[in-house]
Parts: sequence; C-alpha cells; structure tokens
Amino acid sequence: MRIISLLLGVLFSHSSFGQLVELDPIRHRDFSVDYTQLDSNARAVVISELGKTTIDLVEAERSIRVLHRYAIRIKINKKEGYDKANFSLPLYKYGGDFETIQDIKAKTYNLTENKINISELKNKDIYTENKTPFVKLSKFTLPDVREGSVIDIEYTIISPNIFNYKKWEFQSDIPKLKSTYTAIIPALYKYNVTLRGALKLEDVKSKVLRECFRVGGAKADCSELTYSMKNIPAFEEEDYMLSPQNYISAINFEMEEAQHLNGAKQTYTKKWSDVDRELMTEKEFGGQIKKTKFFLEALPDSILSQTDLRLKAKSIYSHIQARIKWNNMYGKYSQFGVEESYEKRSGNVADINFSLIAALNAANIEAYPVLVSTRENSLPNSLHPVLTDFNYVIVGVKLDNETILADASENFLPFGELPLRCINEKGRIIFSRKSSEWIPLENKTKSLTSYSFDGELDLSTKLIGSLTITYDGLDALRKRKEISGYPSVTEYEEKLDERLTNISLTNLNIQNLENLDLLLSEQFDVIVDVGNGHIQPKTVFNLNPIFIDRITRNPFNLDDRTYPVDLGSQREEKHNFSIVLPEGITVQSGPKTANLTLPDGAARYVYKNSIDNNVLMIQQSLSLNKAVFNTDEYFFLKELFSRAIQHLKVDYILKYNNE
Amino acid sequence: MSNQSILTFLSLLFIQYNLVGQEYAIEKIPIELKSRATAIVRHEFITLDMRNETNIIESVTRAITILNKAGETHAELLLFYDKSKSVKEVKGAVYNELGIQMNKFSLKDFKDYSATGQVSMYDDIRVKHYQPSISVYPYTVVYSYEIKHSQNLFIPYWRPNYYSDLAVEKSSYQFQCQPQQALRIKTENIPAEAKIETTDKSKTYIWTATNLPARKDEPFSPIEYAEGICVKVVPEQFKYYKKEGQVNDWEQFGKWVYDDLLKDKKDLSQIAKNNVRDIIKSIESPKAKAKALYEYMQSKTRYISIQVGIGGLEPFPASYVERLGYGDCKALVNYMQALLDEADIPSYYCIVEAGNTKMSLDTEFANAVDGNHIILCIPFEGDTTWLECTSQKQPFGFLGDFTDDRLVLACTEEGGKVLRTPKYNWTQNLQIRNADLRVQPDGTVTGQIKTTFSGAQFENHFSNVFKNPIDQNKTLKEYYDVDNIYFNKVNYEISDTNGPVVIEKLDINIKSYVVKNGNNIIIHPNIFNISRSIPESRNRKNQLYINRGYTDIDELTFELSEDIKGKIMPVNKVLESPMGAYNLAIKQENNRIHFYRKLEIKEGLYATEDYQKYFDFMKEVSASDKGKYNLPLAINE
Repeated sequence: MRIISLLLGVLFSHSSFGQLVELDPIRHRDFSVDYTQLDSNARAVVISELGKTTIDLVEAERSIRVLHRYAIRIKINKKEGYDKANFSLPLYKYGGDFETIQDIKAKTYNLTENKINISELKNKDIYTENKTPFVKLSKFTLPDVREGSVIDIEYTIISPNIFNYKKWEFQSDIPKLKSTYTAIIPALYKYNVTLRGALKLEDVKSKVLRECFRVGGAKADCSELTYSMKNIPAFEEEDYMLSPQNYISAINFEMEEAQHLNGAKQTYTKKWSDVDRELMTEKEFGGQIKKTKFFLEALPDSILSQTDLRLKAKSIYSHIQARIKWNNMYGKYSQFGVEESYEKRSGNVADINFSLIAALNAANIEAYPVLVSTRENSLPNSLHPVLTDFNYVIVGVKLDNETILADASENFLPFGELPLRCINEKGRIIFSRKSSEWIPLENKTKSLTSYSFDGELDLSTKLIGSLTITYDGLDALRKRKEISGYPSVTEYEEKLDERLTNISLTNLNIQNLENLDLLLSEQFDVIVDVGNGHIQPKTVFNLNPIFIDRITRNPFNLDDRTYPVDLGSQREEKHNFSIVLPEGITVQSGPKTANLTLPDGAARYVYKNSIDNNVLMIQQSLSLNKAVFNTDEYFFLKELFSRAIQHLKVDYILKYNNE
Repeated sequence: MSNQSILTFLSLLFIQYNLVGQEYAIEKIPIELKSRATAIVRHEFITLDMRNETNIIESVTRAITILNKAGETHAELLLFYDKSKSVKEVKGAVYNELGIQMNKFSLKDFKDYSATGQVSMYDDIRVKHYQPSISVYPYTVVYSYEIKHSQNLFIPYWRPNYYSDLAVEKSSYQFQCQPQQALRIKTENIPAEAKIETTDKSKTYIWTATNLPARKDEPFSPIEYAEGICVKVVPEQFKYYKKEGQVNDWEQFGKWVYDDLLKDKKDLSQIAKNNVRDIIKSIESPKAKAKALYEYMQSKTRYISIQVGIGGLEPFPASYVERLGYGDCKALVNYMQALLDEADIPSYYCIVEAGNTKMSLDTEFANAVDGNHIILCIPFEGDTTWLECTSQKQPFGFLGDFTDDRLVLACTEEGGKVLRTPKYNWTQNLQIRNADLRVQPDGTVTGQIKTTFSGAQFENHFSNVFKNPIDQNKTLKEYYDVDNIYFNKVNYEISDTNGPVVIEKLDINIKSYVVKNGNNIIIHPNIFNISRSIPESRNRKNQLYINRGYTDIDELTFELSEDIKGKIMPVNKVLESPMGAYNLAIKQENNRIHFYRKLEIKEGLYATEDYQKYFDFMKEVSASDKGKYNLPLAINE
C-alpha cells in the first residue's frame, strides 16, 4: 500500500515516448528466410521479435502506468506450426485494476504467384475470456494461415503495476533469428537486471535520454537499455529436469529503488534483514506465527505435557497434519489465518505451516518459517532477496542444534521429510531475532523400494512363498497415497491381484499405513508362474527368479543431454530373494556376480547370488546415491541401467536329475 | 425470557438438532449399499418445471455421504452456465458422521471461472465451483440449487446409477409441464413406471429409484452399462435461442437442422466459386473432383473452435471460413459442402458422437444431446465416401477410429437419415513388420525394419510422419522402447492402396541386445511387439466387449555371427480362442533365425464367461512373446 501512495504523492507532468516498436516492411525475402543453421525442420520460425517497455503518465488520474509494446514476425513453415498463429494473452489484475491490451494489429502475408497478399485480423474476431476473477485472456488467431505464411502481430499491454517490467524470454519452443528488447527506465527508478540461461547476448546498448520524463515541473533523465540475441535455438524440455524457467534464456527486471524528486530514496529490493523485518510485521506472515496463545489453549494437554522435546514436536506435527486439511493452495501468506483454519479444519500451505510454527512455539520448541520456491517454479535469486520468487512456506524446527524441515500439508508425510514439490535447491529460513539464512531443501531419507521373497520352487514351475515389499522416503509417500485412494484395502488388494496377472496374491497384510515413523510394508502370500507345465526329469529349465519389477526399461535413453538430471532424492531399488529348489535340481549356470560403481560411488549396481543346501539366494540393488547428476554423468547412468538390464536377461539354467 | 421458556426453547432446539442429526447419521445407511461405494446419495430430488418453452426451472436437492477419500469427487459441485442457462440459487451444509452440521455454504462461496477447454478457442460456457474441504471421513454434503433454462431443446436426463462407485438410497426425477404439452419420453431399465399427476394447470411425471448399489468397474465392458437407468424427456415442440421446431423422430430432426441451421450458409463468393471451377476443370470423375476439393480445403483451412450461443449448434457460413481460413467442425463441413455444391456433387452434413469408443445415435429417440461432432458424407453411387474436415492431414475418404463404425444422422433437404460410418474390422486393421537384422559378435543388433500400418492402425505412427527428426527420434524411442536402440535412418511414406497406408522404414542399431553368459548367448527374438496380458476379472457380471480388432504380423530374420554355433529348436505355437488367434513360429536355417509372430484379435461382443478364455489366451500370448533362447558359442580352441 505504501508503494501506491508514494506514486500518487509525486506529481508528474506530461511525458512521451512516441516511438513504438515497428517491424520492417514485409519483403519477399521474409518468405525465403534462411533458418537452416538453427533447425532446418522447424515447424515455424521467428524472423524478428521486438519489445519495448516505457513508463507513462496518466495525467487525468495522476497515476503512472507501464506500457509494454510487442511485435513479432513469424514464418509458419508447416501445418504443425499453425498453433503459433493462435494467441492467448493473459491480462492480470493488480489491486483493483486489470491490465489492458490495446492496438492489436495482426496480419497474414501469403505469397501467391510472387505477389504478397495481406489478410488482416478484424477487431470483431478478437475475444476476451474472463478466465478467473484475476485473469482475463485476450484471444485471437490469424486469418488465412497456410504453410509458408508469414504473420505479423503487434500489440500494447498497459499495466498499472510499476514494478512490472516484465520478464523478456529470448527463447521459446520455436527458433528465433532475432529478438530485441528495450527498456526505457526513468532515472528515478533503479532495477536489478539479470540474465538467465546459457545463451549469450549478442548486444547490449545503453544510452541516456535527457529530460525524457517530466514530473511536476522537474525533469528526469531516462536510461534506454537494449538487449538483443540472434540465432536462438528452440528450447527443448528433458525428463528429470528442474523447471524449464531456470534454463530458458531470459532477462529479468526487479525494482530496486525509486527516488523522489526531492532526493529521498525508497528501496524496494532490499537487504534480507529488511525483508525479514517486513515479513515478521506482516499480518498474514509474522502476525500468524505470533498466535501462540491460541495454540496453548487449543492443543490437547496430552501433547503439551510431554517432556521429550523431539516426541513433543512430532506429536504437534501429527496433530496439525490431521487437524487442518490442505485446500491444495500454495502460498507464503496465510489465506484464512491460523485460528480460522484450525477451527474450520481447512487452509492453504501457509495457514497449516504457520499453525505448526505457532503451536511448536507455544510448546517452547523453536520453529521458524522457511520460504520455498516450489520445484515447478524457478530457483530463487541468490544474489539479493526477491520475495516474489517464493510461493510456499515450510517449517524449520530447531532440535538439539539441528534444523529439521517439516511440511504439515501432506497427510502421509513423516515429520522431517519434504514432499517433492518443496525440493528445489534451497529455501530461506526467517529468524525473528537474527538475519535469515539459506538452508538446503533436501530429504535425508532415500526413496526406497525393497522386495524380499522367501519361498520355494515346485516341479510345476511355480514359485510359492511370501513376498514383502518395503517402502521408505518419497516411495512410501507415493504408496501410502495410492493405497488410501482406494475405498478399502480389500479393493486395493483385488486390483493389484488382477493387474499382476502372473502372480496370484492372497493374505495382504499392510504394516504402518498410518504410522509414518516406521517403514511401510506390504506382505502377501504369492504363487508365481515362472514357466508352463512341469519340469521333466533329465531336462533343463530356465528360471528368471526376479518376478516383480525387474529392470527392463532404461529411464535415461537420450542420445544427448543438455540439462542436469534432478531426481529430487536419492533412490534405491533392491531385491532379496531366497528360493528353495526341489530335490534333485541343480543349477547349471546363472548370472555372475556384478558390482558396478560410478565414480565416487554416485550410483551403484550390485548383483550377488549363492547356492547353499539347495537354497538359491539372490541379492540385487540399484542405488542412485545422490539426487542431482550433471550432464556428463548422464551417460554413466545410462550405461549403468543398460548393464543392469543386460545382466537381468540372463536366466538360471536348472537341471533336474531325479532318477 | 423466563427460565421456563428458555428450557422449552432449549429442549425444542435439542429435538430439532437430534432429528437433523438422525437424518444424516452414517449408521442409518443400509449396510448393503456400502459395498464398493465411495459415496452414497442419501436422497436426491430433481425437478424440471417447464413453465413454457423458454422458462424451465431445474431444482435439485441432494444429500450425499462421502465414505472415503476415493469418493471425494462426488462432493464437488460444478454448476455450468451460459447464455441459455443461469444459476439462480445455491445453499448447502456439511454434516459430520453423527449428522451434526459442521458448516454452511452458499453461492458466494463458489469460485466462478470460464469452462473453456484447451480444444476451444472461445465459447461462453462458465462454471461455478465449490469443493467442501473436509479431512475426516465419512461426512455428508446436503445442498439444493436452482438453474433456469431459457430453451427446451437440451433438457438434462436422469441417470441415477451412472457412476459405478456411487450407491443411491433414493433418487427421484420429476418433470412438470402444462397439461396439453406433448412430450416424447424414453425410459431404460426403470424400476417402476412414472407416477403421473394431472391437474387443471399441470401434468407431472415422477420416476423414483431406491437402493441402487455401487458396482465394480470391469475391464472390457460394453459401452453402455446393461442395467443403467435412464429417463429422457423432451417436448415435441421446442425453442432454442431464437429458433423453434417440432420433432418426433430423426427424420424431422434432420430436416429441422437442415432448414433452420444449414440452408443459407453456403454463401461462397464469386471468386471462391471460380476457384472451385479452376480446380476441377480438367478432372473427369466426381470422386477425383471431390478429392481435389478436399485437398484444397485442407490446404486453406485449419480447425479453430469458436462457439457462442446458438453457435454450439449452428455453423458459421461458408463465407466466414473463406474470409478467415478457419472454423470448427460444423463450419468446415459446411464450407466443404459449399465447395462440393459448386462441383454439383451432393453431400450430407452428418452429426456423429465422436471418440475412440463407438457410440451410436439412439435410433429410437431423436434428440439434440446425441452427437458431439460433424463429418461429411458424399453418397457416390455404391461408393459412399466420408470426410473428416477438421484435419489438415487426413487422407481423402478416411475416418479413422474417431468416427468409424457407428450410426450417425445425415441432415439433408429431404430430412434426416440414419447412416452407418465405415467399419474397419480386424482383418483390415493391419500392422505388418518385416525386419532384416544381423547379430554382431559383441551382441549388437543392426538392420532394417519396414512396418506398414493400415485400417484403424493407420494412425498408430501417423503423427510421427510430420515431426522434425529430433522429435521423430524421441517418439520412436517410445514406440520401440528397447534399451540402447538408435535410429540411424528414418523414412516415412504414405500411400493409398485400398485405403491409406503408412510405411515406416528404419535403420536401427541396438547395442548389446544379445547378451553373453559364459559360453552361451541369450537372444529374445521378439524385440518389438510384446503383448501385455489383460487384468483378471473375477465374479464378472458384464459381457466381454472388444471395441476394435486388429492383426499384427512381425517377421524378423536374424543373421548370426560366425562364432555362434548352437541351434534353436524349432518352435511352432498356435493358440486359438473365440476372440483371436496367435501363431509363433521360430526356426533356424544355417546361421539365420526366422521369427514369425501373428496375433489376431477380433472385435465384438462376447458372453461374460468368455472373459476367462480371453484372459487365458492373452496370458499365454504374453508369456510366449517374452520367450528367450540360449545358444552355445563356438569355443575357440
């Protein structure tokens, strides 16, 4: 609110930045533009993209606004590129006002018999969709688009938000020959400008426009900053990567400082210490954390009277987790407030986690909010605080000089573990009495699935025994959610049995579905067909005993890898099988022992087997011992999986010698 | 207030409270309804009060108990509205397990947003949405709402047992109108005939159903649930936006569509008409003319859906498509029809229920709800040709699995005609693969694969034809999900011999595919086509339905390297079942292994008991598909 009053407090006079961005006149050569060095098969290619942002004064309303002028020329090469002629432009609401769009001009050029035909978009073919109370979409598509068409689009978005020098993305899903962005910023305002992504700027120009902005009789200079890139390849997404936002080449603006004409400065992008203080005095942040009194009354005595701090913290966590249902909304600010959420049993992430902090504090346990930018968001800026980077808040609990991270929004998450959405490099823990700090967001617990089978082979080629599957970490979270998605455990068992057609499952016994501190396990009696018919005397029989989730697919199958692999946590999958062979059966051959390790033990595949007293024992495990692998390591991972797949193709050859 | 009266007041309150509590208490649910249910409709009263053609009030009161997390979607309220439909009033409350009220909600608690999906660029459909956020099961949501319809062509049906996981204690559907109103009514599987009440001012039909249990969803079930209760009521005479009509059967409905929505829409400009003449001037046969015009339409237009008000039913005129070069299915079919008209080729605008599942129109009951797409039919003598006009790539005369083999309504000048679209049967839906491969000493497999796709399988890899090499390569790794596979050369052709065919030619390399183990090598010859078994279905109730059949043939030859000396024992496995046949033949000649696999699956409806046969068949197919062979190596001595 202070921001608005500042702007209104300054009297602006007329200003003008007459120049609009303009595309070059259309020429024949635009139809035969050469983009082969970028991607000779591109479905569409951007010939030229221009953007310019200026600040403008609305005298009548004594307010200023930001003008984003945009122009693009695209060549549509193939039918697959027709979607690039469809536009859906979001207009957001800031305070009470929506952004508006003006001067939409769009033309399609087609070359027929060496003559350029022009079809123009008409105003009546532009639609506005009121998507939600906060977003409108301006939608239109170009007329008469065909293979080989060149299209021009120009428009201006007028934003009431002074901070909103929008991000400029140089890179998109189609290649661009040229992209240029100009920001004209009155010297009254100072922005932090950051470039993200791997591509290099072709050119940066800056010049001073003298007295370009006249405000209440006084004059201010402007800086005109121009950034351009050429020959920009399309952005390609890959599996197991962090949000593309971290890698797409783009330029960002954040307001750092605004200056009054009398020389007084207002700082926006501040030091963390300022942000800390502001957050703690904010009603929907610090204001909620302070409501310890409420929780002192609301928490059951059985919890408050506990003496072991760690157990007490855990009980409070479970209590809040069960009490307040997450309404699937993210946020770093409270939506309903902790009291209402606790009473009505529903709230956003901040409501839930602020409740947890206040409740822990009420019980004399140190706990602090931790700002998080979720995984599908970009990583937070580490140079200076950018509050808008964060969209989520969790809890840092101090116990015995250790900080335990907790998120009570997810039903089946044990105390001290984070859901995958929170695992995005680092968060910022906000202490009230000292400066905030970065804290790594990671799960100490591995994602683990472990199969153990104890049984026997009979002469009708069936394995009969008991199978236990144990889950930990994110695997346990996934499994607990899956099981609870069924109306009953019986129906879950039925579905599982029907799906695993080679395995007959009975007597399912699930342990620790609700007890999150212990490993989740499923135990079944199983009968598995591993062949058909009977093993005949004096013949050989092939056995591939790992009958469940044998590795057959390689998740890392790319020929080239551009971005790091980010798994979110360490992972392990293992099998421990013990099979009693029938009398008279001997093992002629089988897979050898294997032990393959990546440099520094980053990943490992182990296969061990032995035969003792007619008992075949197999131990196999594939473990990825870190959460992030760089692009060089990608091919080691690929090879490791490939070796494991090859190894598991090898059968045991059994001979039946019964006389 | 005296003490006495306070006491009375309190006790009254208590009684009231207790009564409400009793009504929605969980213990009152009959135990047999809880089986397989994720939620239970405790009571539901749906009333449609047709005061006149443009004033129909739909009132719904519903109490629904959510038993567990899986039933949560049934607690959600989604009230759609547009220019012909407005939400008048909503109120509701949530009760806990004991039937004690926990909170209340009304229209102000709903979120309002546009319901325009990804497919449509613009329409006027919006939704009011409310999701009670309750963490403790079970709980009961009780609500009532009122929607005003200002048309009577689309009237909601009653389908109380539509959702398999939702049990129903009591549901009733009431339709009220003026006594002289002529109605058409169709009922299916209703437990009892309607109760009819007539007064001077109104006529009322009431259908009721009680104690409908939830049921298990079974794989490969027929499209329609055999015991599905359905009541469809429509007035003979209707108003829709500013149009009106009278319809008793599909013939009249088709006539109405033609006369009121289509007739004057073929307003091509003179330039466009001249264009048509130019295109067809040197072409003799009508079919070749139609093909040339279809390809012209495909090059000039694309699919963009804009539907506002009556635009959901009425196409934009041909001049609109001519000016903009785009349109939705209705507009593009109408435009194509206009082009054909100029060439004196008659064609039909056809309403179809599109989708992979073959849904036909209800032949016995003409109504506007059936159908969600428009295609074009050209009734050439003995050679009826069908055109999908929203695709810029589809070959001429090919419908594919989106609209094949179902009853559709042709809207013609003479009236509606029910027609059937072409069927692609299992002998026509072919995927035939030939591969010539070599096994290198290090286990790497290299060679050429050629696969042809036709019939309903034409579209299997069709979209990949048009992608750029990087994306083609990525998609191929999904189609051929084999570790270490590389595609050195990719080539696609589309040809037309008795229908369109995609021909895919690949040069491949699979590193370390054949594994060495001691003095043996292990080869799994069926690299590319491993069928999966189907789920079991115990205590099955539904018949077995196979929507679309097919035939796959894989013929692979492996040339072994010199150091492999062993021989594979010949295999010749033949499996037969009512739903299909399987043949696996493997033999070795010198250093070549010949692998042949044929799988035929026949579409159709089979008896419930046959499911087990299908299951056994597919299980054995799947096991045989995974067969591996050990071959001894020549020992270097």
